[in-house]
Amino acid sequence: MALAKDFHRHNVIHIEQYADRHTEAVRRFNERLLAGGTPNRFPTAPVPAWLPKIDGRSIFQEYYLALDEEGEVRGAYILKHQDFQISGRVVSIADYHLPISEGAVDRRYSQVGVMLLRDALGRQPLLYGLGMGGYEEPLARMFEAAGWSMFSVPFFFRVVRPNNFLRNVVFLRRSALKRTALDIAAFSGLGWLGVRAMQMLKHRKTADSSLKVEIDTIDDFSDWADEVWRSSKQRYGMAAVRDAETLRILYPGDKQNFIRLRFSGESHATGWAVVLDSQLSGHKHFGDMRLGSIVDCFASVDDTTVVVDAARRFLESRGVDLIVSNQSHAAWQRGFREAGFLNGPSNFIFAASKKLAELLKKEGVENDGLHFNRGDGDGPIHL
Amino acid sequence: MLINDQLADIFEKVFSIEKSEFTPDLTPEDVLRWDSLGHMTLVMELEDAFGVHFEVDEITEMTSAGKIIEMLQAKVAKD
Repeated sequence: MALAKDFHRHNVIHIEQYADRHTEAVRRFNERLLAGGTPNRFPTAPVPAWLPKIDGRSIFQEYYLALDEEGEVRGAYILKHQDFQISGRVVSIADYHLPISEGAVDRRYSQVGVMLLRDALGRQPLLYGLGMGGYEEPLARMFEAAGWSMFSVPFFFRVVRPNNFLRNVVFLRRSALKRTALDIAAFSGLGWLGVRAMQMLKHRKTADSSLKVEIDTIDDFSDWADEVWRSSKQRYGMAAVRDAETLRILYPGDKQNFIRLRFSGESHATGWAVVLDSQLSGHKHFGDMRLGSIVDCFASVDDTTVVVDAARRFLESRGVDLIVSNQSHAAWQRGFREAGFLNGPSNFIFAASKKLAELLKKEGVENDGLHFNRGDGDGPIHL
Repeated sequence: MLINDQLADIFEKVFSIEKSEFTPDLTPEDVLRWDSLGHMTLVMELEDAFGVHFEVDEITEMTSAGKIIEMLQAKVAKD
């Protein structure tokens, strides 16, 4: 009982913003998590390297820590604040990500996870979570228990080099029998024929129109991106503001891994996409494939198919084995299907807090009126 | 119904703890399902059942069934 009382004395926890004086406590927190066998670590620098808070910017990240009376960190989370357009008006919303509780390794702190989420909701009631790795993952289950609204953001893929795809696609190769069958399919060319036939059946009416689209690789977004945003945003129920200034912050010119594409037709910009071309090594889903990903994109809802097809052609010309994307908006889902992409199982989950879900309901925004992809949330990681 | 009995019902529902095994001494270390997720479910159930809301500072004090009983008694008395 003395131990329990002593623990309780030290168990008064409060939450505050991460500052320089907490750095060593964060290191000790990470060490305890590592010793406890959990995979997550919290950033050790108090100022985010990605999206720091800078005067005048509406898109930025904040780090928060749960501290006990001794100054030890017992939990942490990140808020990414960003302007969104919801039915024509701009609203600041935050992405709740990387919540880590010491409860994961020490049951005496099992209340910390709830505290983190409640604290975040107190700071910004309009919260969302994105990604999470599937409904069975702890954060998704936490959101579900808290009564958040959730759906999986559809996953699209297009196989460019069937043999490499069949030899590397990890989720299809989980048994010896499946591995052998896929190796035979790859070796014999049957896989190539099968995959091509499926994609050709799906690929409708896009080839001619997308060939007329001019594709430019650009260093930065400028006025033309503002025009695309201004002229197209009204037909999206909800989308993160994607004007030129925001895009320059999210996909800065000095980040060489982002490939920024502008698509034009008849002298004006039709839309844009940010894509990645990554040589993977031992990836848990895609093995050693060269992976093309359409991370982010925007255009009029009428132009999604030509934009997707042009991005596809660009990535195919670079020699990728597979192109993937996650897209929630109905127009982009249609665009990917019409550009010959297939649907696959999605573990990319969107979750809306009760207040955000209420706002979307009040504004009549359905799930497929939301424009979310890998450019949202904590950005194009794991790709 | 007494708060203790109501809490025993909720512990049975959330953590599958038999009512006969419920005591105010129970802590997360004693109850298999009283992890982070279990705690979230517990808080939601308590708020639903008692029509109360727990602030962040209060959640930190929920370190045993007995502490929760004390907090509920205080909240109910206030109302």
